[in-house]
Amino acid sequence: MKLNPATSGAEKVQGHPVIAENLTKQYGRFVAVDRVSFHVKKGECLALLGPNGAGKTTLIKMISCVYPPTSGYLEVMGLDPLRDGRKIKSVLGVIPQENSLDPDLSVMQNLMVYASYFRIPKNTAQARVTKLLEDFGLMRFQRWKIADLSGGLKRRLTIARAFINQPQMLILDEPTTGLDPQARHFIWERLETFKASGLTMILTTHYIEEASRFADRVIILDRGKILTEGSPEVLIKKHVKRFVIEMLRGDGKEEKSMTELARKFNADIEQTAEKTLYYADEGENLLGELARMGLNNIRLRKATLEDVFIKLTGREIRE
Amino acid sequence: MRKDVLNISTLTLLVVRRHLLVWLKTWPSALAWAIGEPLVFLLAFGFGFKKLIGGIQGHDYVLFLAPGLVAVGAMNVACYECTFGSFSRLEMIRAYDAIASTPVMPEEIAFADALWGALKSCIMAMVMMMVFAVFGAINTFTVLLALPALFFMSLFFASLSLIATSVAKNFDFFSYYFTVIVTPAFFFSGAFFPVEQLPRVFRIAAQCLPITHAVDVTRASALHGSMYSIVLKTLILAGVSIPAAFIAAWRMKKRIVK
Ligand SMILES: Nc1ncnc2c1ncn2[C@@H]1O[C@H](COP(=O)(O)OP(=O)(O)OP(=O)(O)O)[C@@H](O)[C@H]1O
Ligand SMILES: [Mg+2]
Repeated sequence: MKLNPATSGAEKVQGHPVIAENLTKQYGRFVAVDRVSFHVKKGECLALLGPNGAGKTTLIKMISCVYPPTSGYLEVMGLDPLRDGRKIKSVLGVIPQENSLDPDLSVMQNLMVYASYFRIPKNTAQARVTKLLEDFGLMRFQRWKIADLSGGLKRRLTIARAFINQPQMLILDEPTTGLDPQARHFIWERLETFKASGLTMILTTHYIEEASRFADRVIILDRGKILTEGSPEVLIKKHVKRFVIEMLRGDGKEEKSMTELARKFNADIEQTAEKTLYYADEGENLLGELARMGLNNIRLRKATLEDVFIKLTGREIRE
Repeated sequence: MRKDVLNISTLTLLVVRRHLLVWLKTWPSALAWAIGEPLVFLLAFGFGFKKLIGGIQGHDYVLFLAPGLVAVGAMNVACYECTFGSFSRLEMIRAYDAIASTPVMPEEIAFADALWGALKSCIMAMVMMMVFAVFGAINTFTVLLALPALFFMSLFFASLSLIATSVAKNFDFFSYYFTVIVTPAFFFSGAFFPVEQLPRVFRIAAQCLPITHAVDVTRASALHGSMYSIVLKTLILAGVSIPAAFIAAWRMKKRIVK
C-alpha cells in the first residue's frame, strides 16, 4: 500500500512504537514543534532532518518522555507519555545531543550508575557493562575519568550507555556530530549491527550520508513543521530530478541558449552564489550538449537527499 | 511528567547515591572547606572571647559555641550544595539531562537533591563534632542525639536553596540569596550568643528560623539539656522541612521539565 502522509491519521495502526497526531510543543509562546503527525513502524529507522532550530531535539524530548507535549496526541510503545513516562523510559535507549556524562566518575562508574536508574541488579549490570565496554572499544579506558576522554570516546560511551537497559527502541540525537571520520565509521558499524537485529530507531542528523545509510524513512522538518516524508529514494524522485549538473558561472554569454537547453531537457535551474545548478533526469545527455557548447567547469552527479533538503529548506543560513 | 502530581519512588535514593559517589571522589577538598570555616570560628571566637565572656548559661563559652557552630555549619553545607552544587548539575554539567531520560522522574531528581543536601550536611556535622571533640569543645556522645534535628533543619535549608535555584538565571543570583537569607540566619541563629540577647523583633524573627531550633537542640544534646525539648523541636523541624522538600521538588521539576 502506498502511504500518503496527508492521510496518516487514517492508518493509526495498533502496535506502532510511536504515533503522533497534531503534536505541538511550545516554549512559552514560541512554537517549537507545530502540529506534526507521523508514526514510527516497528523495526524501522526513521530519520528526522532539519536545519538548526527546526525542532528535532524538542520532538525527541517529547518522544523520550522528558518534555510533556503542549497539545496533540502522542503514544509511545503503546503508552501515554504523560501517564506512563516511567514505563516507557525503561524500554528506550536515548542518546542525547549533549553527552551529559558525569565528569568526575570513571567510564565504568558512569555505566554502573546509569544502570542503577533502571534497577538492573548489580551482577547483571556488571556483565552488560563489560560487554558494552568490549563492543564499543572502551575496555582500556574503563578506569579513566570522563574529563580525560577525547570527544570521540565520550560519544562512544554515551552511545554504549543507551544500550544498558537492552532497549526496544533507540533514539539518537545527532550521534556523530563533531566526530572524525574514523569515530563516525566506528559508530556506524555498531549501529548497523543493532539495526540489522531489528531494533526500531529514531535518528536526527545533519549528515545526509548518515540518514541515507540508516533511514528507511525520512521526515524533513523546518520551523517545527513537517515539510515532507518518505523513503530517501521516493523523496529524491518527488522533489528533485535524478541528476544534478553543477557549473561555475561564466560571463553569462551562454545564458540564453542554456535556458533553452534546460527547457528541452525538462530541467530545473537554480542559481547559487557561485554556480548554476541543473536538475535533470537525463543528466548524461544534457551534459553532452553542454560540453558540445564548449562549456567547461561542469560536473555531473547523482541527486541526493541533500539536494532535496536544500531545495525544501532553502540555502540561507539559520540562526 | 504530568505537571500536577509528584511521582516519587525509591529511585530517588539511587540518585542520592550518585551524588554521594561523585562527592566521595572529591571529598578531601570538600571536607577541608566545610571543616575549615567552623574551626576558624571556634578558634577565633571561642578562644578569643573566652576571657572576655567567661561563661554563658553556666557553661564555658567554647562549650556553648561549638554545638551552635556544628548546626550553622550543617546549614551552610546544605545551602551551598543546593545552590551552587545543584545549579552546576542542572546547567553546567547537565547531569539531570541524562538522568531524566531514564525511569527516574524529574521530581525524583529534584527530591534527591534536597535529600542529598540534608545527608551531606549530616555527614559534615558528624565530622565537625569529631574535630571539635578533639579540641575539647564537645565532650559528650549525647551530641549525636542532635543528628535527626540537624537532618531536618538541613532538609529545610536544602529545600529553600533549591527553590532559589529553581528561579536562578546564573550563579550571581545566589549572592543575593546568601546575603539576604543565609548570612543573617547564620549570625542570628543563636550559635554565637543566646537569642534572648536580641531586641524583641529580632528575637521573634530568629525564633521563626528552623536554624535557631537546630542550634538549641544541638546545644541541649551537647550540654545535657532537656530531652523533652530535644524531641519536641526535632518533630517541629520535621513537620516544617518535609512539606518544604515537596515544594522544592515541585519547583525544581518545573525547572528541569520544559
Ligand atoms: N528549553 C527551551 N526553551 C526555550 N526555547 C527552546 C528550548 N529548547 C529549544 N528551544 C527553541 O526551540 C527551537 C527548536 O529547538 P530544537 O533544539 O528542538 O532544534 P533542533 O532541530 O534540535 O536544532 P539543532 O539542529 O540545532 O539541534 C529553537 O528555536 C530553540 O531555540
Ligand atoms: Mg537538536
